[in-house]
Amino acid sequence: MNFAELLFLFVFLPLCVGCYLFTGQTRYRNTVLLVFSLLFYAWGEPTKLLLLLLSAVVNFLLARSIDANRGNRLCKLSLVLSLVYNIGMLAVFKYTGFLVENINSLLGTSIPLVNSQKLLPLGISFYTFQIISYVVDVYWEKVPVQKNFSKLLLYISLFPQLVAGPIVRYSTIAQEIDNRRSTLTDLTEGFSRLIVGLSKKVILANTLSLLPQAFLTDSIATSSVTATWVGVIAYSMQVYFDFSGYSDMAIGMGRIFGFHFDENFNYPFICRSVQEFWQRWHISLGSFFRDYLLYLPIFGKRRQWLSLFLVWFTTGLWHGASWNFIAWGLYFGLFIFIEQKLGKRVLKRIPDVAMHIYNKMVILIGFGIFYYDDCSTIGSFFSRMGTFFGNLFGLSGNGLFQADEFTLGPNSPFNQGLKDNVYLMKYIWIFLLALLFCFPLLPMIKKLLNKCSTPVQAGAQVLSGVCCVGLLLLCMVMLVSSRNNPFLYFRF
Amino acid sequence: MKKNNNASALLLAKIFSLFLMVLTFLVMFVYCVFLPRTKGSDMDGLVEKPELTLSSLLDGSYTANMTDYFSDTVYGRDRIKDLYHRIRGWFGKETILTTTDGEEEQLFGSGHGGGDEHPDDSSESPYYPPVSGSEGPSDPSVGTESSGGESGGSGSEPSSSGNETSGTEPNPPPVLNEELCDAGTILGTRALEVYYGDKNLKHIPDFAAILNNFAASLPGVNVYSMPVPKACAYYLQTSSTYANQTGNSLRDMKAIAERLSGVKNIDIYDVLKNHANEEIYFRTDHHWTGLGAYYAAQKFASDLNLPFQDLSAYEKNVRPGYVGTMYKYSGYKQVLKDNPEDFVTYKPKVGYTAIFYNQSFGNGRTRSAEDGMFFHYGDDRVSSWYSTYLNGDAYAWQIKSDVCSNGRKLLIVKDSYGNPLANYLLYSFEEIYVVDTRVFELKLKGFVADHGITDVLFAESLFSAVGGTYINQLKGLCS
Repeated sequence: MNFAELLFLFVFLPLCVGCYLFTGQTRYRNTVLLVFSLLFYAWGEPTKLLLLLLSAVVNFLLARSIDANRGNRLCKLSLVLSLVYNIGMLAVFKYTGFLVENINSLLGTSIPLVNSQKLLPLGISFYTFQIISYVVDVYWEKVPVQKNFSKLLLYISLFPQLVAGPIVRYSTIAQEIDNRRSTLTDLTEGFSRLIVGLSKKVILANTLSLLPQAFLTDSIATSSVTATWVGVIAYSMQVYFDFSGYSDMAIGMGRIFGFHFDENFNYPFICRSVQEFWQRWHISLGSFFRDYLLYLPIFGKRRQWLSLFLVWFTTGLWHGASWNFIAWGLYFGLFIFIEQKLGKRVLKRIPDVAMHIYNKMVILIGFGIFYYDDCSTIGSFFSRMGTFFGNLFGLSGNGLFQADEFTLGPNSPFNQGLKDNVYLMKYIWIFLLALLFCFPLLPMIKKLLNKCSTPVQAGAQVLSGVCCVGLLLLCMVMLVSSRNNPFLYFRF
Repeated sequence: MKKNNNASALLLAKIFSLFLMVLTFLVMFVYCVFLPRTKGSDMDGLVEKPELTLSSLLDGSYTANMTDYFSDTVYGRDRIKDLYHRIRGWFGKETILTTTDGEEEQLFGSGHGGGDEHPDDSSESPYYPPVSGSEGPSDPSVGTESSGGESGGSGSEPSSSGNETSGTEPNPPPVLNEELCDAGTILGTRALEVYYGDKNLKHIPDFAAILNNFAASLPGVNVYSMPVPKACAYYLQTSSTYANQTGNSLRDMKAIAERLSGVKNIDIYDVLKNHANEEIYFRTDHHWTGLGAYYAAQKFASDLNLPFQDLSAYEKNVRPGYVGTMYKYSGYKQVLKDNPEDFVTYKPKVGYTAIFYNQSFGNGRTRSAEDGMFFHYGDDRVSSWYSTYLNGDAYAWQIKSDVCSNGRKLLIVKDSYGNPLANYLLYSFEEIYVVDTRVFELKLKGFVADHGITDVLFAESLFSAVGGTYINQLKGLCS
């Protein structure tokens, strides 16, 4: 099931919240959440629910074994078994097709390809990382082992964060699984956060998605320099609003149910460096790699930079089984490596304007690499990148605007291609609106309001409720009227 | 005291705000669950309620389709869509809420919407030419591109049109309402789907080569090619602003014809041009009309010296209120909805037997003599009325004429433009087979041999003929 669907928003969610609030005690509420979470997962992936249940059982037992065998070899063995199982499942279900295709391409073999899209259980990348964090934290004795299977299953399958994150650590919600309450503030902020997230997804991300489709896919060979840049900026914003919208919805629904998840995005595009971008973008993934992979002494202390590249290789690979994701991860790793080598002092001395131009270029080009996710072989990756970079920097001869077989008449205010005219002008408002919302406007308004008198604050609170209702209705209208509702998380 | 009042005011504001949001969710719950589902739409086809089977449940298709069905059949769905397009209208052409393109793509690709599958290349956006590479100087062998379109801003035909016959140049009065829309151009009350053309000859040589190879592999079988231009080839020139918003159909048709070898070209460009002041293309749909197909069939029969009957041999049926696919593809332009047109069919007065088959030519079922090649689409599926002909593209057909016994058997290989053709060829061929390039599952060479076919006609919109996906499908079929 997808959050941005009428069935979820107006049937599943009201029923779930209704049942949840109707049952008073936490243990009954947990049961309600568990039943709805399993139903949520089974709705889209009926048979793959078994895999999720199997992962929960295996890791429940191994974590118990870790806890029961502290001080002896079985403890470490249980940890290793758990890691092998989890990473193995991820490798088998997510990367087999990719591996086979590359072997076939390299060795000229014809090993039958598997349909990895069909094979891939929804959300496996998210729930596997959650499970790993739990088992490792139990091993490190950061969290107590969970002795109740249904509670662990609830943590793993909790529907708000199951298919699109954030990657919630067990330690974040361990206490709230046993003891939580939804306050008035939780409910109010939870619902408004849910609606804001939905609006980001439906109004901004869905509409923006048409631009990269037009300029980076359908006619990449003929796209002008301007169109390519617009496409890649629109795609960056689409991914941001889509992903952060889902995170907002997850955080909002979590709050409705009394859970307090950590923030996953913090206005990443206002960053001053690439390092800072990654401290603001998909924070739960970055912190996962930082805490569980970066400081593993695989390469020794003297070769920590190798660990850094391993982290970014893994980050890329985690995003999907395609060469573009690996290149994308290493690409960011390279810039972070350079920034680290330069050091904070040097970076501070560089003027802000230069830093912003530099990091936005790096980030946008990075999203261009991220976009071409159909590069199953390295040859197809280089071919795609050649066209993309050629257009981006005007090397393909396509001109600043589209070379114009479809030139508008002399009276047209836009003496450029039909495509550029129609698309650039058609989406200019949504494009500008999206750009505006990349800045932390809402937190700034909130901050200002906090300094105002109570009646103003109360009025703003009511106004925010009215705005949320308006946005929710607009989303409903758009969801009924348009089938353009891409779901980016199938590959996770 | 004041502090308490302030706290109460904030608390009340929070409660009110929460109440508003929760109330909205509850109202929407009641609205979505308890109000009757929409059963018909005058905008487009509805998602059908999925059938519950064990396999559909296990593979997830039942739940996925149920989710789509739920969204698509919500109560008052057409009014909600109208509201959506009104909201778009507030922002003028530069709307912030346009998301119909994704819809089109789904519709083109899946044929969703009552079998009304778009004939064009589903992998390519409706906006752009399927041509790759940078624009170079035009190929002199296929006409000049100086004016950019069929007739260019000046309204003149490309200079290479040496063998053009002089037809009646349609010269309607200038129209006031001219605008670009999602799928092309609106001129007055007519919507014209954009034609991208193949200026750089990326696909045309492949198309011709496939037909040539096919003909060469079937000695003794006559093979014909009859691409059909889109409406913009004839009507866009009346626009003062957008006359050149199209590729050059004449140039592309000539380019195909020049490359054919062993395949007879049926050139209908001028035939249609001569009748452009009649209703040969729908105003609200991206297809041609039955009348347009009649003139094309007449030219085909004439080129082959085969008997043919004029329209007096047919029973004319007029069905008013047609608003076709362009209403949707244009982004629901109100001017189209407000100006419906007649859907006219010409039914043969003579006897024939029509049998329809699945795509591997199995499970044949004979239609009643009364229905024959025609299917009735109800008023709740107005946009699908073009599927009146052969029920759209869903079946392969065998039509046996009662009035022709010349031993000639015709196979029409087509996209949806070919659907109305067989109707007019009952006097010319003893048997007519019709298969759709995009969905037919058998190889044509074997099919021709198995059924003793004497003539093969490739009839598709020019848009398809120069489109990569269609050509790939044709290649597979003809291999």
